[in-house]
Parts: sequence; C-alpha cells; structure tokens
Amino acid sequence: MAAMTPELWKRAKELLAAAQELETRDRESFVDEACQDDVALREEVAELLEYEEPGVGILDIGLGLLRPPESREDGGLDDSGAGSLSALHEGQRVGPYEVERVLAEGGMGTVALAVREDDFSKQVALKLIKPEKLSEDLLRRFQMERQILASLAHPNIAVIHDGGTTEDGLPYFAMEYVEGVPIDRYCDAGRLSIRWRLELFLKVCSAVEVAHHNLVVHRDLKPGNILVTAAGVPKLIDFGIAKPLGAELAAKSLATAPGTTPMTVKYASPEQVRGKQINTATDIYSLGVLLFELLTGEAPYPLDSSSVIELARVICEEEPQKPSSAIRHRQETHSADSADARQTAATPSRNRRGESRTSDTRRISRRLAGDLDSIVLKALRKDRRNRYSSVEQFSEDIRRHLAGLPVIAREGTFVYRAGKYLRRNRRWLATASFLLLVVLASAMMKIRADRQIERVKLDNLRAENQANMLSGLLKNLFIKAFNPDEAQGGSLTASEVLDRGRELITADLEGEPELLAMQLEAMGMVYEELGRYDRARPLLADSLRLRRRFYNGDHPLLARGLNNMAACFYRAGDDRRAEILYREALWMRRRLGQEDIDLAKPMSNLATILMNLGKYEEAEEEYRRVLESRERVYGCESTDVATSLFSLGTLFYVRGDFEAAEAPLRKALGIRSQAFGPEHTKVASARSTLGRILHAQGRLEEAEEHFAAVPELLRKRLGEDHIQVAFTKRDLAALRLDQGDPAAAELLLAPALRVFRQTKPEGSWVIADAESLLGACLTTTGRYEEAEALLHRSYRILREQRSERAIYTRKALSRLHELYAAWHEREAPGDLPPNEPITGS
Amino acid sequence: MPPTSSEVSRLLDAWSNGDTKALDQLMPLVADELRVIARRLFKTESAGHTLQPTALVNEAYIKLRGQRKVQWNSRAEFFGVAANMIRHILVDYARHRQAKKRGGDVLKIPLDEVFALPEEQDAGVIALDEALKDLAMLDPRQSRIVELRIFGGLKFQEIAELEKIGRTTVWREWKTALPWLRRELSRSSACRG
Repeated sequence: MAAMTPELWKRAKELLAAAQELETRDRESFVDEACQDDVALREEVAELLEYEEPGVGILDIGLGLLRPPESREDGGLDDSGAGSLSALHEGQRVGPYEVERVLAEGGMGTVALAVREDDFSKQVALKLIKPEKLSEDLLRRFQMERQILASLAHPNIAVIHDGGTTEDGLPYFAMEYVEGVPIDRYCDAGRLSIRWRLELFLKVCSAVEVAHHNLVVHRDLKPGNILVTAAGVPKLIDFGIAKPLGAELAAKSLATAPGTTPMTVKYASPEQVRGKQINTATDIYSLGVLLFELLTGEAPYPLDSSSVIELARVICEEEPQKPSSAIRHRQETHSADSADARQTAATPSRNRRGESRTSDTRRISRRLAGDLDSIVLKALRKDRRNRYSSVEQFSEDIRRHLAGLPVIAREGTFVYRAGKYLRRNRRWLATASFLLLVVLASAMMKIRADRQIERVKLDNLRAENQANMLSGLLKNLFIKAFNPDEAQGGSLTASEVLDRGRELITADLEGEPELLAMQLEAMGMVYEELGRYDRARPLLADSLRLRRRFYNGDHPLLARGLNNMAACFYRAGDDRRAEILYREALWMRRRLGQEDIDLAKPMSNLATILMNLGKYEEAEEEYRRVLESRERVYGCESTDVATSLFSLGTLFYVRGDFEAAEAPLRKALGIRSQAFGPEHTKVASARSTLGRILHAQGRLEEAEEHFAAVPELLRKRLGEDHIQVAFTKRDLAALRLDQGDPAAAELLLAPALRVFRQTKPEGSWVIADAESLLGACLTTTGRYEEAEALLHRSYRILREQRSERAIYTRKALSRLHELYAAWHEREAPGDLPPNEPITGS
Repeated sequence: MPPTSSEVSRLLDAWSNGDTKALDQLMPLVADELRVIARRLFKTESAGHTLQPTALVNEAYIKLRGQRKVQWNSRAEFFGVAANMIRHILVDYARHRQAKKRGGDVLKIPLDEVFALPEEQDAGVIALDEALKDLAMLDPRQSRIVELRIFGGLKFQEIAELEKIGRTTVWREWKTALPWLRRELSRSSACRG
C-alpha cells in the first residue's frame, strides 16, 4: 500500500464502515458497485474486510489485558455512557452528603463513603445507580433494595438512613457505613477458633432469618457482602439482588429472567445457576458455602474453571467434599506449596514446623468430622427439599452442636451417605443398589399410605411403634450395608445387602407377622426391580403366605401381596401363574370397593397376559373395560386412553386382525403426537406398530413412511444400542425382505439381533421372532440348512411362549413352509402343522 | 520530588485552557505518579495480576487532584494524557528489553517492571506502536482514538467527549481502524519472519 494517502484512506474508511454494516454476503457486491472502476480503492477495502474478524495478534489477544474491564467483546456501542467515575467522584454533593471516596463498584451501582455536610463526623455509605446502567429494571431493583433495607431492622443488617435523587436525576440512598472487613478475612486475620467462627456465623444467620421472615431472599450471600466491624459485629450490607417472596410483589417487581440474574457463582445454588425458582433454601445453600469456607478456608468444590458452563455443572452435579476432608486435602496440597497467602484457623501459622501443622490439621479435621460435616453438607444438598427447611433450623442445629446435643443433620444421613457411596462406585452393582434404595423408599411410602387405612383397625400407638421399628430397621440395614467401613473390601453388592437384610428382618420381627410381611415384600420388590425374579419370588411368596394366614378374608394388604406376586410372575414371564394371581387380586380389590379405574394397571397387565396366552377374546374384554373407564375418567384424548388404544390395536395385530388394528393405532398415534410432540419415544413406538400393521396389510409404502420416521428419532433419544432402536431395525428388515431385498434385510437384522441377544434372556420370544425373520432371509438367498435350524428353533419357542394363534407363531410356521417349498431336496417334517394364510382375520 | 496536588491541578487547568506547554511539564509528573501507584498496586494485588490501566489512572488522578472538585473536561483530558503516557512507557520498556536481549545497551531507560507486558508481547507492542504512528500519518484523530481506547482504557463515550465528536463517530473510527491495524500487524510479523 505504498500509494496509501490520507485521501484514499478517508474514502476507504467510509466504504469500510458502510460495508461493515452489511451482512457478510452482501459486502462484496456493495464494494464492487461503490468503487466502480477505482481498482485500488476496491482492493484496499476488500482486503481490509478480510481483517474484519478478530485474530490472534496483539491487538486482539495481548491487549485484551489492557481493555477496560467492562468492555464487551465486540466493543459495541452498548459499552457506552460516562465512565464509572462520572457516577460519583470525591467532593461531589449528593443530597445532604459529600462524597469522600468511592468504596466499591458493583454491577448496578457505585458505593461511596460520604459525610453529611452539616455533620462531618457522620459517615454514610452512599449507593448510586451507575448512569450508564440506568434502565427501568435496574431502577426497580434499586428502589426495591431501598425498600427492603428500610423494612429490615436488625443489628446485623446495615441500617438505611435516607435516600433521594441527585441533581442529575439519579436515585441514591444512604446507609450505615460499615467499617469492617469481609467475614472470611476477619476470621483468618484473627485466627478465630472454630467455636468463634460458628458464633459469628450464627449472627449472620439471625440476620438472614429476619430477612426471610420479612419475605426477602438475599440471593447473594458471600463474604464480600458480610462485613465484620472492629467490635466483631457482622453486618449484611448488600441487598442489591435480593428478592421479595410475596407473590404479588414478586410478580410485579422482579421479572428476573433466568440467566440474567446477577449473582456470585461461587456461592450460587444449583437452582440459581439453573435459573430456576429461588426461595429461602437458596440462601441456606449460600450460607452453607460460606460456613464451609469459614471452617476450612476451602470451597466445597474445586471451582477453578473459567468456564461458566463447567462451573454450573460442578455446582449442579458434583457432591461437595466433607469439610473435614477438605481440611486434610488442603493440608496435603499446602504442605507442598506454602505460597498460599490465606490462613485460617484450620491451617495454623505458616511459620510453624510441618509436624505441628500436620497435627493441628488432624485435630481440626477431627473437630469437623461428624456433626459439622453433616450440618454443612445438609445445607449444601443439591435438592433444596433436602436442605434445612429454614435458617432457624440450620442455626438451631449449630447451636445443638455447640451444646453437645445430637444434630438433626445426622438423622437420615445414612440414605445420603449410601447415595454418595453409590455414586462413587459406578459399577452396575452400585446402580442396582441405588435402585434398591429408591424402591425401598417408595415401598416405605406405599406402606405408610396403606397404614393410614389401617389406622381404623389398628391401635394408633401400636401403629406408631411399628412404623418406628420399621424405619429403625431400614436404617440399621442401610447403615450396615452402606457404611464403607463396615463393608468388607469397600464394595457391598446389592445381594449382600439384601441377604443381610433378610437375616436382620427375620431375627428382629419375630412375633410381628404384619411387619415381617411388609419387610419381606419391600425386599422382594427390590429384587424385582433389580430383575432378580428368582430371588424376589420366595420373598414375596413368604410375605403373601404370612398375610394369608394373618388376614382372614379380604384385606387391602393381602390384595396388594397378591398383586405384587402376580406382577413378579408377569415380569418374570410366567404368564400362567401371573394370570391366576392377578385374577385373585383383582377380584379381592373389587370386593374391597375399588373401581376399574383404580385397577387399570393390573387389568391391563392381565389383558396382556391373556393375549400372550392366546386368550384373545378375554384379553379384548379386559382391555376394553380399561379403555372405557379411562375414557370416562380422563377423557377421550388422554394419554392413558392412548395407551389402552395402543394395547388394543396391538392385540388385534397379534391375532391377525390387521384391518381392525389400524384405527386404534392411528388414534393412539394422534393423541400421543398431540400430547408429547412428534419426537417422543412413545410416538415412535406407536408409529412402529402402525407401520407393522400396514406392512401386514400389504401397504408396504405407507409402512415404510412410518418406519422411516422412527429410527433417527429414537437413535437421537435412546442411543444406537437401545432395544427400541433394535425393534425398528427389525421392522424395517421385515419390510425389506418383503420388498425383495434380503441382503438389506440381513444387514439391518444383524445389529438388531445382537441387541436382542444382549438384553433378552436366552429363549426369549423376541429373539426367536427375529431369528425366524433371519431364517426367512436365509431361505430367500438359498442358505437352506442354516435357515432350517433357525426356523425350527424359533417356531418352537414362539409356540411355547406366544400361543399357536399369535401372528408371530403363524409367521414362523409359514416361513417354515416357505423353506420347504423352496428347498427341493428336503421334505417338511410330517408333524409340521399345515400352513394357515395370515392375511385377514 | 513528588509533585504537589496544587501544582498538577494548576498545570491541568492551564492545559485545558489551551496552554500546550503545561502538558510537557505535566507528563513527567504524572508518569512518576503512575509508576508509584502501579508499584503499590502490584504489591497488594496477587501476583500474575495484569495491569488495569483504568484502575491505575483512576488512582493517579484521584491522588493528583487531591480533594479538589473537578469538572469532567479536565478529567477526560487527564485520561488522554495518561493513555499517551502508558503507551510510551510500555513501548519504551519493550524496546529496552528487546535491545537487552540482543546484547546491546542502546537504551538505558529506568523502567519499572510493573509496566511490562509479558516479554513475548514486546514485539507486538512495538509493532502496534509503529502501526499507530503510520495510522497517525493518514488520520491523526483515528490513531488517537485507538490510543485512548487501548492504552487509556477509555470508553467510547469518554473518548467522544474528549475529542468533542459523536459517540457513533468514535465507534466507526474504532471499527475501521481495527482491520487496518490487524493488516499492518500481520505484515510486520511477516517481515520479521
């Protein structure tokens, strides 16, 4: 650019600026047109436009260091307004005050130390909105803070004096000037003992309590907002993002969109970083982080990532370490690296020798272990329902600890510990054990609910005793099971847990048949949930036997026992036993006054069993009863109705009534699409079944349309190896075969079959059905010997498991006939039943 | 010989009233003050903290002006001076360090370490300085805007008031200067091989 002159640059600059305003794709034509035949100018502008994007040079990277701290990445016009100093500068007069110096600059305002003009000895903290940040929303927040502070009178909350508007029309208020240091620095500088720290923290709690009583959530509790005066009084100073809880106030005044809430990530609760509803539990969480820090000098999680997303993930997912281990950990890291400037009571003087430091750390770690660990962790629970229910409860627990009384936080910690232990051990056993916990918990809940009914019969006191005994038992069991110290080798399997449980139960519950039955039932359900039907069955059977003996005649608990037993057989695939028990359970429950709608689930299961057994007429009757009751109670468009329609359509399909099957399936698909949106797995399964029905009707193209919509959707949702994805591959394979493309069919079938073999037990009819299809492919491509073995085996299995009349069995049979029709060297065995045409009913 | 507040104030006022010589006297005073403040800031802040010109200049300004009430104009002008000074300090230091690395002792400017950018940026700082000088040949005001923005940490509004032009103009000048500077910088680094 030797020829560059100020004149040329001026023109180039103008064009460049104009081009920068345009979309990238329009720029070239614009420059071409604007420059006409001025080649030099055009080249210049075109070249400069190539340097439009920030690069890696000093201008964009190195000098990032020198950019003003608030500047936006794009340096846009929104980075505007007067400098921060223009909001407040020393000597400036604000109302009756004169600014001495700026104390802090927050997101929305500036805080300055000021004195009253008429009384220089009276210092106040003056808070002003930054003019460049002025917006309606900010103004509202600012006024709200003023109101909130005015409404909160407490020795540990800064007092508000007055407020008004500056000459420039900016609102301000004056509050008590707290000459103090952030609470964490105060504790460290004074090397306060744990007890002192707790006392100080309790005062903070009492301030937050008052705020909560006034329906104000602080939302930004952190050391910087809690100053401790020289007299040792902590004061809450900043309610800048506080939120009133009153519904009418909140709705009007704080439409804080998720993600826009200013907060300090380190102290933010999971619900805050997720942008969810905030309540007092949010402050409890932040107080938990604060207490953690005051006790250990460490954060509950390593929050050293600079990525906000990563920080949010850690806060929402990672379990905090125990304060007592944080101390030990801190000791380890810091003995290697003594450059850390922070000191806490927990880490004694750096000048001392290593040994004494180690022993001090051990001492403090021991001091924190137990109560304080539990208290802090309870405040830090991810699910706010599991935190302290109020700040009072939180501080009460600390007081109890200080008084040497048992603390609330340690009640029920076994479940939490168990959960944590499980999360650490990500083996399937751990998952299974976790399931076990969940199931046991829900079983407990069910038991309690039923107990309400029981109260009529049972003496109240006795019921209470039993419930206590029961929870004591469970607790005992889990403490033993999940305490890593007691579990040999550190890993206790779910089965071991249950085995121990059984021993404990039978020993402890001698002479309490009702309770014993419940316990056995709960454990049986756990095994069932784990898929261990072999183990579930004897437990459920024992439970049922006890109940049969204990209750004469109909009883809800006996009915439930029957139902559970039936469900267990059903899930284990023992349809015949399941049918008998379901029928008994249903009869009893009807006699006890339950309606069809209450029994929809077991009735549907019974219907499915009847279908599997080939009792199609009874199955249809049962399905229809459920459908009718659901239509009556939930309305014709409800998803429960869709489920019934889906079942009914499937039944028609299975019995070969393809015309009748279509309508209910289409209706089910419609309801589900409406209710769940087009991408839901339930929509996908309805589509698959509808596709199968259309395929069976010979409408191959329509079937393909439905099949085509499914796999992508499911793969996205469930992953490649999910059984539902495998089903769609199987369906498409069947279609390809009928379209005359056995090679494509085989390609689709192979991965599906692999999934079936992995997920279903050997001899399952699902595998047999797929193998029969594979056999058909082999027949078509002339590999008769292989086909024969496969087809015979699958036919046998299907006939055993799905009745002669089921579509699957009939298909398997006809495929055998097709094989022998194609295979001239071999005759069909004499005992092979004759082929039945499948189309039509 | 620390400057007294009143002396600085007088010079600032004189300068804002059009006395350009006042600036020459002002510069070294302010530069000294900046160094003192920067050194202190670096002692209190944790190591590895980078220099924030805004904070630095704020401090210097408050210190130099004492308790006197000031108007916006001279304050902005003060920032303008400071930006220019910070640029010189950074560039001089970078040159000095580069020269030293080559074994020469061309320059013997006693500079405070605190002003230094990381050493690997020396070449970049010098190149940027050169590019700004080239830009000043074509458009002095534009070059000045970039200087205020980069070395002074001024916001667009502040630059607008200082240069007595519209904020949109500042914005446009800045936006068009960036590609130009990027190109110059990429050329200079290409030349160095």
